[in-house]
Amino acid sequence: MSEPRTSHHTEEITRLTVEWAAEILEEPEVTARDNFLDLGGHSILALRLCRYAAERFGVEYDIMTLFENDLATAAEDLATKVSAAPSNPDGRV
Amino acid sequence: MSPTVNLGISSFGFAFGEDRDVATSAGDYVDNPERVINWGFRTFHRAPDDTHATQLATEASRRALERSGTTAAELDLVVLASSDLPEYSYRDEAAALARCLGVERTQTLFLQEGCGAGVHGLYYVAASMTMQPEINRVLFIAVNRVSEFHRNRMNVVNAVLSDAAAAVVIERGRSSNRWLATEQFTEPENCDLLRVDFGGTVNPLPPQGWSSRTAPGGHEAIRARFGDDPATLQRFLRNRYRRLVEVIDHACARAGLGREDLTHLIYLNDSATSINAVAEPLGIPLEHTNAELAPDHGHMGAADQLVSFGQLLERGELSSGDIVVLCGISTERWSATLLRV
Repeated sequence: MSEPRTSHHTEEITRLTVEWAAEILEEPEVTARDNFLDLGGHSILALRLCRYAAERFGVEYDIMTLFENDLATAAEDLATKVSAAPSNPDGRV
Repeated sequence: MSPTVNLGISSFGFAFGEDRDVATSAGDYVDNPERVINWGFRTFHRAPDDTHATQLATEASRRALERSGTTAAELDLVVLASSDLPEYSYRDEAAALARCLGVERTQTLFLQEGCGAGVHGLYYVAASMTMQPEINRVLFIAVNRVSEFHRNRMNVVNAVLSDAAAAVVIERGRSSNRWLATEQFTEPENCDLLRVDFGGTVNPLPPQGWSSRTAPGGHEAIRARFGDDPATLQRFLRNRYRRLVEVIDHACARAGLGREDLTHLIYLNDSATSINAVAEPLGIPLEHTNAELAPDHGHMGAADQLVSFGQLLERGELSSGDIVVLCGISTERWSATLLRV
């Protein structure tokens, strides 16, 4: 049996989220368990992360989720939005 | 275009609270010091408990007056901009400063619009000098002295709040550091965002046991205002920077200049990334901003921009003819002032 499609999405989006956060924060040691604000993130960097997501998926992170949770949770929330986006009927990542 | 009024800054004077190391002090203010340390500030200034805004402003003023060879009696106007709580209710803080300086029977003005007052306050100086030809010498002071009872200096915004004053003597007919234009506008919708709920007429006193150390900070205020409305939050955050560029464009138009004429940008003391978010659309390189100075001061409220301008001049990083834009945000008020070195 193949894995549910959304778990692939979440995995890939989490990987990208960590990669983007590391680039934006200039912090190579970022993990999915880190919080964006604890790493020195702030509003303008969050907006840049949102722009990356919008360019790739057509939807953006929820900034409060990004501020108040770890990157994995923000990625999971984004994956849900990607799957639900009307412009992405196949739920492709 | 601005009406023709020829005025410029002839001297600067600064006063700082004691230098404190952010990394070793953050734990005294917040439970997650790493977050504060990662903002990138090295030092902030904390005034001793018995040193308040008037003392800082007086010290900075005396230095500025001494450097320009001006006596208190020669001043025609004293404008004080203060970005934290006044020392007392029902008192004119500008009058208190004038008394400390020995200024008698002279016009004074007290501005309280927050951190941007050190930028847009120069408009009121220029306007007064335009309307009153007899005003030749003005003392303008921007001061920030955090009331730690009311505010936790490490959890209001993403910058460590700092205690300092910057004073400048402004003279009619001075061609260097010449004022060119000031523009400002207000969008009032979110003017409550950073308010302190206690100490005014609505709630004169805090509840028993209330402490700024444990009270909700700026992040909680953002959540309360925008937590259920991510689209509005995005728009609010984006507009902070868009509006800055917009008000700078307005100031350029007022001065008959274009963005390409701007050589330096001095924003409030924020992270380099945030300063760059303002500078980049204007084509100003980060090296021509206050990004390098900010980590050694923290956010000194209304005093940021004049401290940076004076220090860039002292360091020889500005040349005659450079066009410098000072810009800032109070809560929902954007302002920009252009100066020609």
